[in-house]
Amino acid sequence: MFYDDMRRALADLDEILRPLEAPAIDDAARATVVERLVEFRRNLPQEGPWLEIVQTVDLVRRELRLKVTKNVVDRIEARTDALRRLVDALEKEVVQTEQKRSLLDKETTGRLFEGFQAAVSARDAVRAGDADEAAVHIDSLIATLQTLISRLNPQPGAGD
Amino acid sequence: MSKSRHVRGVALTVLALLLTGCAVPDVQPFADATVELGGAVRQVGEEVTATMRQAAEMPTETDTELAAEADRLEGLWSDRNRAMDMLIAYADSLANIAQSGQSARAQAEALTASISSLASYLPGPGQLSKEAATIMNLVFQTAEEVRRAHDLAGAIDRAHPMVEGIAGILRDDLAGMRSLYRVNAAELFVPLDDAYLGHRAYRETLLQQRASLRTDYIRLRGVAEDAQRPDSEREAAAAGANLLLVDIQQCEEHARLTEEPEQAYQTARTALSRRRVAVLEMIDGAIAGITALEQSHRDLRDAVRHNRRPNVRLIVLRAMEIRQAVQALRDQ
Repeated sequence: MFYDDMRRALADLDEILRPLEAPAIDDAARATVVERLVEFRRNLPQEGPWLEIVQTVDLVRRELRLKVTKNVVDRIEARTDALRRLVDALEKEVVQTEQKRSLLDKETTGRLFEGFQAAVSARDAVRAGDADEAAVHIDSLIATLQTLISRLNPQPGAGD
Repeated sequence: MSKSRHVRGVALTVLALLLTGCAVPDVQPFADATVELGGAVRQVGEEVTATMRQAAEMPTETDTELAAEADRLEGLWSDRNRAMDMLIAYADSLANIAQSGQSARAQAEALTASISSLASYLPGPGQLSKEAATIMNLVFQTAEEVRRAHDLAGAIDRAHPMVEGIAGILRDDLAGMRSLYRVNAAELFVPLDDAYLGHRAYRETLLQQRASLRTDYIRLRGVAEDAQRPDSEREAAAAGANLLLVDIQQCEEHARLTEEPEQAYQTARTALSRRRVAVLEMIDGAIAGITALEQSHRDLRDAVRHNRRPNVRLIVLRAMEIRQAVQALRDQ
């Protein structure tokens, strides 16, 4: 009975550890081995000859855990410089986009204000009965609007 | 030439030039989903390092190497958090461009009102009419729309290689974090299993014993009730069955005493298992979310280029899943 149990346990352990023999094993497969080892040791008695099996399982489990941990953290570290460069480039792009947007908004508001002033001056000139003066302000209003339109509609890539 | 015809001529020419096909897509779902994803990436870092530290502090020993790795990972993950913060800022800046038409539209409408008011002071035919003012307003709004579309297209085009690169790195990182979490979360079950090992072995023995006694009892009761058998054999079997009944009752009483610690063990184990599943679902959600972010950004770029609506369904769906996964973890 005892020997049967022991033989069965060793066969199970052998089957659990078999993926480690593969020439190319990844960390996900190692993690599966660790999880299966924990489940396997769950019901093992921790006395007599069983203790040796438990100790072996714990040794393998800890080695695998540290190996996976170091592998993953090393790889994350190796990618960090490239990530930083990309993030810095994206930050630059965001800052430029925001600056450009704010500049355009500022210019738009300024031009709209100029247009508004020209409209008011034209109105005052009309009220005063000075048609020539009114015409000058209306020309100014049209010129302002044309400038504004051209600023609002830059060619793609212009000013980037 | 009348001012009205002049203005109308300029306005219509410009409008015709502008209306050659530019639309501002709705970028807000993309920006909202990026915020959800940022929360998940941050949470993954916190969960994995916390689990590593827990695994390093076992009741029997402290794994200093593992604790040091947790510190190293925490430092490295702050770069991932910064990457997500930057993607969020970028998505916000796209959304800002898309939404900036609101203020420009209001300004354009205010100017139209003043031009219309001016028109009412101009005497006679050929004046600057209200119609011309309305056309001017339309030109403003269309021009603003085009500007935003151009700004968006430019920004998306320039940022695409960076978004793609960041997404690729984060996806690889998260896949690694999945394995890292699995090996360390498995460790948390070990002290719990060990703490209840004696109790579980005892309970298992009792339950096996009870099952064996019940089998014997049923067999003896069968003999005792078999009319074909001699009376002496039946009586001996009945007496044996009664003795077994006492043993079974004793066994059940002992088994009952083990129920409370068994319940405590199962509850603790279930809590660990649920947390493990919740964290893995969150990591999987974050991986799927990163892929969706990359695809959505590509689609956004193509949509702006080809003047069509971007497909945001995938990223919205992933964002919902991520929100649920993060919430499920917080509810643990």
